[in-house]
Amino acid sequence: MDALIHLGGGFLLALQPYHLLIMVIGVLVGVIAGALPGISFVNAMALSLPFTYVMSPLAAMMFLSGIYVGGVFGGSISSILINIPGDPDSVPSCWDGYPITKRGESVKALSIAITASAIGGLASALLLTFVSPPFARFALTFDQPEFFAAAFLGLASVLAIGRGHFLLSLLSLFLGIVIGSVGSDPLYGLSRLTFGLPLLESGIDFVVVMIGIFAIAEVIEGLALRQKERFEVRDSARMKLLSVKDIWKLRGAIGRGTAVGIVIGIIPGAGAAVGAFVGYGIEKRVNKRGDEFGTGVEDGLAAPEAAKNATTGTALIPMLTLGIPGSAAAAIMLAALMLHGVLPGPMLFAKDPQMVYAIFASFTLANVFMIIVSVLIARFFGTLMKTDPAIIGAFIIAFCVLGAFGVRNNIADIYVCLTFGVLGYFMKRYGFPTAPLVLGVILGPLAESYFMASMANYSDQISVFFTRPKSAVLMGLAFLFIVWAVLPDIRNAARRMTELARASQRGVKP
Amino acid sequence: MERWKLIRDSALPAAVLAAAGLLISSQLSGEGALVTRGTWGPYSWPRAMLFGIALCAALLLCQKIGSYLGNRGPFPSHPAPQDGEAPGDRLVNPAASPDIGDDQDNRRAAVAIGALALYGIAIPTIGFAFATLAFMLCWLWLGNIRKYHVLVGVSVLGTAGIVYFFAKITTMPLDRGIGYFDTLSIALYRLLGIY
Repeated sequence: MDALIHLGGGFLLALQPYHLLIMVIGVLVGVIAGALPGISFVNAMALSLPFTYVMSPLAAMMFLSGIYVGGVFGGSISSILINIPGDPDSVPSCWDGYPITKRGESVKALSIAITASAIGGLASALLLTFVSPPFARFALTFDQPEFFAAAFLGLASVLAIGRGHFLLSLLSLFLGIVIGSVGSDPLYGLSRLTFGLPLLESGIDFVVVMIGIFAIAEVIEGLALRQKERFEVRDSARMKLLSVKDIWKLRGAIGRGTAVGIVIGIIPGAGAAVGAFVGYGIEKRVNKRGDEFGTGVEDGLAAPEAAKNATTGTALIPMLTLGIPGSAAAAIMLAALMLHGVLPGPMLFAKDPQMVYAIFASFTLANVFMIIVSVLIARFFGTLMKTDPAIIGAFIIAFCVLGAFGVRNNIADIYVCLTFGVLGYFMKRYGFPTAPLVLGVILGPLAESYFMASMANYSDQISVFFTRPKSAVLMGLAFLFIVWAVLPDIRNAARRMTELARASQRGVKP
Repeated sequence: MERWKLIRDSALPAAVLAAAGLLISSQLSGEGALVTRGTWGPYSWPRAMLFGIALCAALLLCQKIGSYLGNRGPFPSHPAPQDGEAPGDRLVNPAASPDIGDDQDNRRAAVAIGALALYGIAIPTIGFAFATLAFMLCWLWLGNIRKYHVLVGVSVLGTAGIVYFFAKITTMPLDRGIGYFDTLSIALYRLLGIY
């Protein structure tokens, strides 16, 4: 009953004209940024961070949740219209969305996408609303070892996502953790890894790293590509909400996609991209027309669309209840709250339930306004996609510089951001995974502080993580993830060894 | 050629990372020992992570050398999905994507990186407004925009809009530069109605 009262209050707060306007602007920015190839919703959120400095914490969260929800859907527009995904999570939308467009039914494809996305997003927002409070109450029983185990699980799950490239992902993760540990240590306050440089004394902020690696690297790559991208929209960019009858026809795909997205959203490090791919993969297997997927099957578009938006709400559960962000988008939201002096975690639910429930309400509203905004501005997408990438790139860099500077009003952060931008470009170019590095920078300092506090409070006994039931369960899950992640590498190595042995027995080169 | 590519793209970076990890972790010392009350001091965590870097890099190096000696191309351009490959693999690891670096213009990339470095250096010297204007002109030119009205219009209006929003509305203390540039920045701010 309390939850419903709080939720009512949250809706009242979120529906205030100022908050609503901020959220609608956020959705608009998100949909447009998502639709433009080269700008992902994470980039858009990172670039919008400096704009939140002048907002209240709630308005900042509403703005960012609007960008998040709108951006996750927006990527599908270019996937469907021009076969170029706006975001990595929109790749599966190309596979069946674009063939539908090629049949001259782009309105139908876009309508399926917006309807499935909205249903998935709304289900996820409702789950966020009703699961987070009991989870936060449960998290109140956590001590430092449990928090460390939760952060460790987050780090381990990053490796699980990079399955098949375990060593590279682990190396990238370690690099990220080391970058995150530059500056003062959390327990003694001694500086480390600063190499005598004053600009590193205050540490490297993860927002600065994220802006550099996600946004600047992308822009450099765009400019370095030999062929200048020119996007031509083949068909009309109108869309509408599907009728109940049409939704009923797609109920299986939307339902399964939503369920998959909700579960994947909770897993730290997974997010919309993995949700969309897994949603598509599962639908292909279970759908009666699975063999026809890739030729323009409606279910093949609806499932990943529902799945990727269904990750948006549940991805925030670990961030809001534990203060541990499981994705880049959640980390940006965490940064926005922290910049305003709000510390997410179980205590936030007790101290400021009104704001928490207003955030929940904003997620629900963002999914509704995503439909309205997308339908209204759909006709302009064709023009938007013809914008020269160089113009967009120049503005992105300027916003990146401002975003990095604005974190602490420190010029050194601009240099750090640009350096990570260049580093990110080379990492992308040479096939070095960037996601584990970024998650390492975000989760590394949290894990270290919980680890050091645990050691200080429990007589330096590492066993404390395995003897306390809750942390033992979390650690067990983490090790399961690691084993699952490393298995393909071991299997490949064993296969290779066998091949080599057979070849040498035959006296020929493999 | 293949050997050189292996050394340049894989073996050398892995060897450098392994050496750097070991070297930096061995250099981590100082007041840590004085303040540490238990087993875990201020350098324990980064040292463990640096050791992890060294270990992973060394294992990667062995893997690359092993695959080369086994006469297996170390850089399969279109690796086939393997059994049990997770759906997110190709997103997390761009190495699984087809030849990312091959369609890129090295000279343009180098000039773009140079422009970024100059932009960063120029901000404290000539001020954010003029550095951004110069950067935008340069970036649009690099992006093959040759119509002067687009080049100048986008740069001037874009810079003015950005400066107005961030200096006036968010009251961000943007660098004004030194000497004449400080005076010029103040004049620009007055023109834009910021001061």
